[in-house]
Amino acid sequence: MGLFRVNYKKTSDEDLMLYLGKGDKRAFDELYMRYADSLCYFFMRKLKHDREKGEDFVHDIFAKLIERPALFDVTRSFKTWVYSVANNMCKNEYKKMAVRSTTSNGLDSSYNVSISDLSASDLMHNEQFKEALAHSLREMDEKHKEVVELRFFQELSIKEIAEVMEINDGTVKSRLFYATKRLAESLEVFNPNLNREI
Amino acid sequence: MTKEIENIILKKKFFELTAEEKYLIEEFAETEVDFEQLKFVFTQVEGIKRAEKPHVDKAVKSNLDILFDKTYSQKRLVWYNKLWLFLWPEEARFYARPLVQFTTVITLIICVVTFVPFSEKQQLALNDARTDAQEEKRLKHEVMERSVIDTKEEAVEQPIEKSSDDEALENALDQKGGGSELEVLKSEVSEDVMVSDQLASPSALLFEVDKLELTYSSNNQVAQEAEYTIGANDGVSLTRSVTTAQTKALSPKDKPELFDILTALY
Repeated sequence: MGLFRVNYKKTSDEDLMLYLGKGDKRAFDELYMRYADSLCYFFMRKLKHDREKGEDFVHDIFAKLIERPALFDVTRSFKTWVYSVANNMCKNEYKKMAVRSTTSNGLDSSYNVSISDLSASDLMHNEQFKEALAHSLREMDEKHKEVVELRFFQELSIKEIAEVMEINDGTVKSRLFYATKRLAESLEVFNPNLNREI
Repeated sequence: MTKEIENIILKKKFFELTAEEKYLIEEFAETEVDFEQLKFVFTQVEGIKRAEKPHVDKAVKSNLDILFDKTYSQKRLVWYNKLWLFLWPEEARFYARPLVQFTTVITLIICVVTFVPFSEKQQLALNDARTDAQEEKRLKHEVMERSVIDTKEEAVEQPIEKSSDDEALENALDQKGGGSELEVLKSEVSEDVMVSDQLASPSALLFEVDKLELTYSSNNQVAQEAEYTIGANDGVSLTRSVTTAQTKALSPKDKPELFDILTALY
């Protein structure tokens, strides 16, 4: 029996997509488990931390997978494909409506930040850092911002980012270099070690 | 920035860096201050990411499950329907429905394969024991062959060890009373001896069997020890216990000794 049973945990994303196309529910569950939260986070960050919208987008993207699995090109990496679809969805969203932040500072006040073990001053420090980070990212070009989002928040590799954004690896590297430098400079004031030295 | 550079910055301190690592991160952080600043940013981002990462509401999954079932159950239904319509058409008569026909054919095939004997080969137990008539014929043939060899003018050198024993046997039997008795003796050869004997070489014993009654019986330790009795048809016998190794070499070695004993007895 075990010989013919598919181990979904160890199956690649691409194979799972093939099974999904044949109506395999467990393949769909596995894909959902692997990507739902990451995609939701991706959408949330791209859509001004609008969690509800992020979840809607997650629903939409998986609904697409269910209804039209043939859209996925099996020769491509599923991860980069799904992120490029998500990226395009966000771009369409930007085009459809003027981007409005849900809160005055761009952060959704309703979402939980589970850092309760931190002291009040640390919490405040973190909140300030997040605001500054969000501000720095807003200040950046969209192309630099995207690279930072995909690299640091979605943990995609240089190659994957290049595939998602349809640019070459060198461009990703240079954008990432520039964005990292900018971030480090703009957030310098929050580094307690450096402040002490100064 | 590769994952490797990121790991170096996150996990190491500036003074711990090797020359190679310094070279790798040089582009991003030339000085210790730059290095510390990058480490700080990465650590903070990591923390934010961990704290922020949402868990999608279960309602989203439920809705997707419903959509999945709706999409794929329809496909499955169509597939089943097609097959069922083919196998069980309502408009056809009962016996004309493919499902009934397939079932009938399969049942017939199973019955035929199970009950009809296809092989003409007799499935009886093989009886390899020779009949008395066959055995008599075989012995007569052997005697004839030996007599032909004996009448040859020039003695042909026989590579087989039995040749000298054959002559000894002939002599012994001649002394006893001639060819008619030889035949009698041969007919008294016990088949059981040869069939049951697994320890000694049958070909080596064949010679003794022609003129002697041999019985072998192994004790419980068959592989190690065996007992044999060699006797003539008038009840005189010699019983010896030997090991397996000895048994194998028994016939050629012991023949002269046995002949001497038996000749003296007769």
